[in-house]
Amino acid sequence: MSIALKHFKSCKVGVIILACLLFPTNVFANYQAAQQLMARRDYVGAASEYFQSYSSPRAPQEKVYSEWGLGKSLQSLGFYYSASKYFSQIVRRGPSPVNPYFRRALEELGTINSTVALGQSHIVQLVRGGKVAPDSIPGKAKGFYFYYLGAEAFEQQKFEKAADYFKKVPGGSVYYSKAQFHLGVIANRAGAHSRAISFFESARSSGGADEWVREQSDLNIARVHYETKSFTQALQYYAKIPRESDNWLEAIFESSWAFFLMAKHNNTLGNIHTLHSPFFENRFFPESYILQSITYLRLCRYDEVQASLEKFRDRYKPVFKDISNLLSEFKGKKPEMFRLVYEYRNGSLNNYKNAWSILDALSRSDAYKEAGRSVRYSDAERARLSGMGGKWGSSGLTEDLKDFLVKKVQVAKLDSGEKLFDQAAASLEYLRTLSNQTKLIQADMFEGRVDTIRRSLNVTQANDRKVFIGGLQPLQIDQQLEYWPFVGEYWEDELGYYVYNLDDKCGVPGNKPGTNNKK
Amino acid sequence: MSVFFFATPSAVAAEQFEKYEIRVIRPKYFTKTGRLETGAQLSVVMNQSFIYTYLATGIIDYHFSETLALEGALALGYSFDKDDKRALKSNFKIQTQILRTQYFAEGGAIYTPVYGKYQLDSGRLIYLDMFFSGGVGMTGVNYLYEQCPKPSEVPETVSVVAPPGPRTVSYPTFFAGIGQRVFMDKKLSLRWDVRGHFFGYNTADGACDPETAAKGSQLQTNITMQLGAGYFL
Repeated sequence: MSIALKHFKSCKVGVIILACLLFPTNVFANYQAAQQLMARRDYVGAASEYFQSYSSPRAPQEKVYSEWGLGKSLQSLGFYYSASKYFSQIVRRGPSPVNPYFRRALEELGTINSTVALGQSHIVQLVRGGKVAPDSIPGKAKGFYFYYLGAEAFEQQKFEKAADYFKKVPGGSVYYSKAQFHLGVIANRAGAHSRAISFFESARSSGGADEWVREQSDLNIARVHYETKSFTQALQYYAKIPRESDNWLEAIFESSWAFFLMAKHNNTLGNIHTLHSPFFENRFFPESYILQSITYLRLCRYDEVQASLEKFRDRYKPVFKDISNLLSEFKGKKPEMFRLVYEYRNGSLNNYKNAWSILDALSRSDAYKEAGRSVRYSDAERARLSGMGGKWGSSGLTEDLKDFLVKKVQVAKLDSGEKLFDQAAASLEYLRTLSNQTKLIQADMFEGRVDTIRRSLNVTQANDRKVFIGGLQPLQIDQQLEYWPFVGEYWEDELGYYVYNLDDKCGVPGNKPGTNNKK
Repeated sequence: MSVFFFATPSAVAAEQFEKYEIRVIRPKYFTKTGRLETGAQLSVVMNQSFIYTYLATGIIDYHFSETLALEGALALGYSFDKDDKRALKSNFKIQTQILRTQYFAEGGAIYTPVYGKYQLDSGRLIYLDMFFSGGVGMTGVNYLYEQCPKPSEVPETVSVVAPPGPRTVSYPTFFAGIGQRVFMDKKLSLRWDVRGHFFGYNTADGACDPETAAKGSQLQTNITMQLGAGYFL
């Protein structure tokens, strides 16, 4: 081999080609050859050669160097997931004199993760324990490293530890905004509302804030204001969620509660009218019927209370049945939950139709979206790898990477499936709780305990004199408004802008539950 | 699907929709109050038998409210003979006497009582309004006297006065019309108008010898179709 190498170095191009043809393995199956190909930006050839020297190293250090080179050449070819395999191996061994690429591999993983999300479970496995001395973490990788350490501690509900890690994420890192967001959540849990809002504001306004961070920050600021009974401020932040966002209906629903507690019942009912429109028949907001019924109760509109409770039963009784069956079927095969939700999402699912609203909610969850991204990227790389067959065919690199990607997909589906199953089970429990509430509301109403219910709801009597128009907006002085009547036909552009026009019937003589009180 | 309603001030609109149990109440998509609208249109006089008249039209409106605006318009144009006119001349030696509108300058009021929206099949929503316009101005008529025989064209035994050179005579005008704006965004609208421009003219002005011709007044109506765009500042 060394003779071949010396010969190779002194050859002209023609001789190189000849040598390639005559002795392809002998000439190129070594680290130096791979380095030369890398220098010439022949990443395809370099990857193949690195893989061969990595698979059959002449010395332990050659394996270490080839592993790094393999990761870099794959990264240069745009095989980010495949590259992450080798960088992850390097990082997993931790910093040591015999692992010289630890710091750089960590940096590269951070870069790859900000380009094509590797998935939290993948990264948490790498950083788990946080045993690496902070000095060993390169500046560029600090954000990546500490953010995921924080995320792991956060998932384990070790909030103080998580906060310590999140605070170590440097300001210029792309992970800074997410770290600030989590610090906001932790502060809010600790009851530090103002600090929580500061963290959320910092998260949403930082340069690296993506759509997810901005929307979740707005939602959480709204929730903090809601908790502290600053309903007008809560509404301002709910109103920031864009209509095209998956979170928009959530904002509409939560803001309905804010309106309810402000005694703005016509706004509450207007928002619920949006939630109940045919556009959203597969969205899961069962609590909206409970809120609708108690809003009517507040207005002493007993027939409407009854109608809301009946609608809840009509709509969710079949859901209850189907989701129970679904959970029974998937109890022993949770990973398949991902496939089920995927089939719902792409329109090929034909069963469990009554549980589609829950499957829809699952399909919008982070657990599903993150796994979906992993599957998509893995599949895309596998497809590209198939195209490399001719160039890497004999080296075994293609098969090695395909195996890795298949396993990555399996892990993503497994993790996601378990989370999705748990969320579906939680939805069933939620329905059960709401169903019990409907019985209580009905019983209390008919037993004449309306005042008791009303007191228990703790509604702030018009604590805000502002008038709210549709779209969660307070009416401005001299504002030009447009009015459109709802006459049974839903217009897409009108969703979110409905306001009811109903009077309180509490003072009307003879208005009692059980009598026909239609207006 | 389309919905139209009378555009009224918010307070009045609130009453107008009082009987509905569920209403949409939101900031108006397109507000005109206090805004200046500038626009350009191509106007075509539609009721002419022998010529085509096209006028480049500039408009400027100031909207005092959502329903009321003042408007100034200036149109300058040119007329082309239709084939019919050329055929009459070449085949039958008939020279038609016609009024060629060269310009109009008008000022008036715009009343916009209707504001509506329309949903396209694609789901896209289009907001529009409809307005009536009326006012006064001047219309310039270009007389070419081409129907008049020149002394060189008649036998020497026939005495004719040389026709005057081409000239433009202006006449006080009233106009009334109807139009519509289709709002493309919060500044730009497409706009069409159909207007009747009514003016009286002296029949002697177009006669071959205006000095001696018997004076007589005739009412002329120019109906224009105007298509263009408006930009709100």
